[in-house]
Amino acid sequence: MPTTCSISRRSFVKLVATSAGLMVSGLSISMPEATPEQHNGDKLDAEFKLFTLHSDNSITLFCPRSEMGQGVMTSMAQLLLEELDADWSQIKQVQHAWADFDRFGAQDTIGAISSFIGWESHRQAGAAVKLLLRQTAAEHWQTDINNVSTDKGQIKNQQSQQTLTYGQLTTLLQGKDLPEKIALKSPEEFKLIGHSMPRLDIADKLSGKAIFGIDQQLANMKIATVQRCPVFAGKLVSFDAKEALKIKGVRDIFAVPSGVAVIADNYWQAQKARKLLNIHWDEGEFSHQSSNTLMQKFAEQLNSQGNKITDIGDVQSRFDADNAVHVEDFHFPLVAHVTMEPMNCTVWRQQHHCEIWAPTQNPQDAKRSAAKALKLEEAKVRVNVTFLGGGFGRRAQDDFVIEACEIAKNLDYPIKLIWSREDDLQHDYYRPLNRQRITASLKDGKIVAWQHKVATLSTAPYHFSLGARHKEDGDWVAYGGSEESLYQIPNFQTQTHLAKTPLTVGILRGISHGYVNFASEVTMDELAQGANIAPIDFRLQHINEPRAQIVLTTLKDKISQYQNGTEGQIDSHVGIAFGHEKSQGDYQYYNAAAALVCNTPQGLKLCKVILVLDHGQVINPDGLKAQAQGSLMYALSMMLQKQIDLDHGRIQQSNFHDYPVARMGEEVDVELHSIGNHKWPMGTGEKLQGTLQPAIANALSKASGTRIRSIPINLATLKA
Amino acid sequence: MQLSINDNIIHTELEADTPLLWLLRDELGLNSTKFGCGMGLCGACTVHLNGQPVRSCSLTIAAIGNNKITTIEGENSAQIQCLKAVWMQQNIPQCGYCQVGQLMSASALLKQNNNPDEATINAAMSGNICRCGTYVRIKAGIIAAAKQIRVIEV
Repeated sequence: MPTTCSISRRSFVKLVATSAGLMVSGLSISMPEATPEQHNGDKLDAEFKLFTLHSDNSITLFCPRSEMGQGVMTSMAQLLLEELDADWSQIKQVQHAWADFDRFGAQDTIGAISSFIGWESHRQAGAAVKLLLRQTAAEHWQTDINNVSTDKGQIKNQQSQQTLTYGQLTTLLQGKDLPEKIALKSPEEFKLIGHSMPRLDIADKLSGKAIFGIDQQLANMKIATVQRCPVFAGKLVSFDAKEALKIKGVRDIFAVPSGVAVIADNYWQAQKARKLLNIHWDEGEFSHQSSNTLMQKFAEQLNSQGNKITDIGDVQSRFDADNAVHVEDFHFPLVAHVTMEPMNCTVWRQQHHCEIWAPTQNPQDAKRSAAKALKLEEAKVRVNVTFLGGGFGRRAQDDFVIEACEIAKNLDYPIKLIWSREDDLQHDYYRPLNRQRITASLKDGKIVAWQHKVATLSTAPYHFSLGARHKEDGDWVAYGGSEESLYQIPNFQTQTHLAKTPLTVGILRGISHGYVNFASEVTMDELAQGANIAPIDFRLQHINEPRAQIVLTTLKDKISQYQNGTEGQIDSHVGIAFGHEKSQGDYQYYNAAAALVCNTPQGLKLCKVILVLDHGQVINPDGLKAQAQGSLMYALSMMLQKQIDLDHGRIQQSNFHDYPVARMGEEVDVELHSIGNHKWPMGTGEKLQGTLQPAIANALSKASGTRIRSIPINLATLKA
Repeated sequence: MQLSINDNIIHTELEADTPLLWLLRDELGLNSTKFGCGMGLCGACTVHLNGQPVRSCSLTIAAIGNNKITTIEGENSAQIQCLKAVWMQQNIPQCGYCQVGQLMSASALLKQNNNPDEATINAAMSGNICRCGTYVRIKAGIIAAAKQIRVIEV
């Protein structure tokens, strides 16, 4: 059975580096002494950690990060081939790496981390092999390495003018050590980085060759579905499989920790059968809870002292001395991810080992959890990563992989677990329900004190990373962004109230920044109005970070042509917002958005978004644009459609009719301006929700005179 | 039961109420047609029935009768070829999961109308959800493909 991750089984000179350094463990194969020119027909490949160099000079890349639409296969290829000095046409294929920390390092695809880590790992990997190729060629030609140059997958002896392809040298690489810590190119030398290279995954996605998790096929494979308790943490009391087993094609029905599993020849049979199970659930205490009761509890908590995460200066005494501005509470509903491809996972449990195919953003944790569920050593479990039909953070969780393993361990044939859309919407790891209160004091046009209180569902019990689950830092994704500010405010305090409930919550495109920065940036606009200072100027006078200043002044320049009211080119209202993260080291980005809301005969309409980004070096400008465009549509779905409601302990929405998302005809384009610098790159797909959304909210406020405190927003009720 | 799929006669023993999608995917291995909602709301499962776009998740095999089903595996029209070429050139797909459904709706549209205006595109394509939000590019892609088709047809 071919798998998406099968590697060449031909004999090859294996140059697999160890995790500690980049030492080569050569796999010797017996063969006569040969000169490189004779190797063309020998089919000897050199396999490195992140790619295989084939003797025909083509390259197979292993992508350690999950391709879920963000273009990571292409951007990682650009980084590696840039330093390898390889030609783009040498790429034969890109395969997802299987879960293997020792070989591939961390593989979780979250937090815009791929570009950030790949900037070092992929460039070094390319540079090391390029240097080894030059050393090897210099030895072969018996010349000084300085006489050996590389370009587009060719090596040239500058003295003799002889050339070899990289592929012709694969055999001579055998047993050699990969050099370490190579000096990398300077930006002026880039030929691939910073260019809109065509995406490597599109051809297969159009031809049908791309295998998503749900497309995995195995001989004798059956389809599994699970009926789960609609109430979170409810328990199975009993079920009766008699009627369900009468459905043609149904093979087996049994209890699993998450509910009752039905196995059938096809999905439709399994779906029909699961409706006939006569299940009795013990719904438990949580069946009395709703979004409203939780939000009410948050409102009460905000009146009391929370856990002080940050406490600089003395906010209280400033509030007493100056006139504190109490902003009305912000409140945000549960949000579902709704990846186009519902959750699924294929598991083949054999006697002593297990192979898994999963559309996962977190293959290594999936492997750990699978091994535990299967009671196997981790070394006996292989997790293959398929294409992902969207991720948005949902697929960083291990629940669907564990569930598939719990089913497969009872069976001697492979199964593919498929969730229905209803399963997907009602058993998500939602963006947490939360309520926030910001209090601030202004003096002479400057903010002197800022208190941000966040009451939210706790994410720690469900954190996608096993290392953070049930730990204190597992809650950072629920309030992160509120605990620090780039705005220079002398008295600054953050408090949290964290509610642990059975309702599964987690990370969703932009984590907590999506709502804490929303609250902060709407408040900034309100304070600017109070100080009678233009919104961009007000932000600028609180910022001393040069990269942020450039972003904001660029935005100011780009929106200068759009005036409020009818004086400008279009009848529009401009709202802006700023977003950033600045962690230790180079993990930092700065962005700002302006939203233009127009008065139309049908009411208020978002007609344009201008986005200015400094996310460091841009790897693929067209890919960046695609992420900005997609992020805006994601924001519009969240802001202008419906919300997820908990009632009687269960989710009320079930499919696209009651949880609609943006469709064709509702699209708005982005005018993108990227600050051209060569700082350490950061991904973008995850990082824009907390900027785009408050910009749109601030524009709608300007147009309607109503401050936006929550989403979703009903545009029909906002009057121009 | 006997059905015409991609100009092949298919015999199936599946129950009459089985949606076409699961015959395609689980029995015939035609995996390009995707499952997204099971209620005809998202368009990921779009195929052609006598050239018209239909949602295969909500069409039972019993309802097909003598009508001809075409999936993207069997769709070789000039329209789909132009669309695929533009989809490549303009880097339209992101995750790609919905894109086969998008292409099937778009090819049916372009067969009817080789110069659709924006409102026509909205009407023909609003049944196909893309969560990656590629709508701006899909719309531009359909307009570009239509232009190429008009050149071919001249």
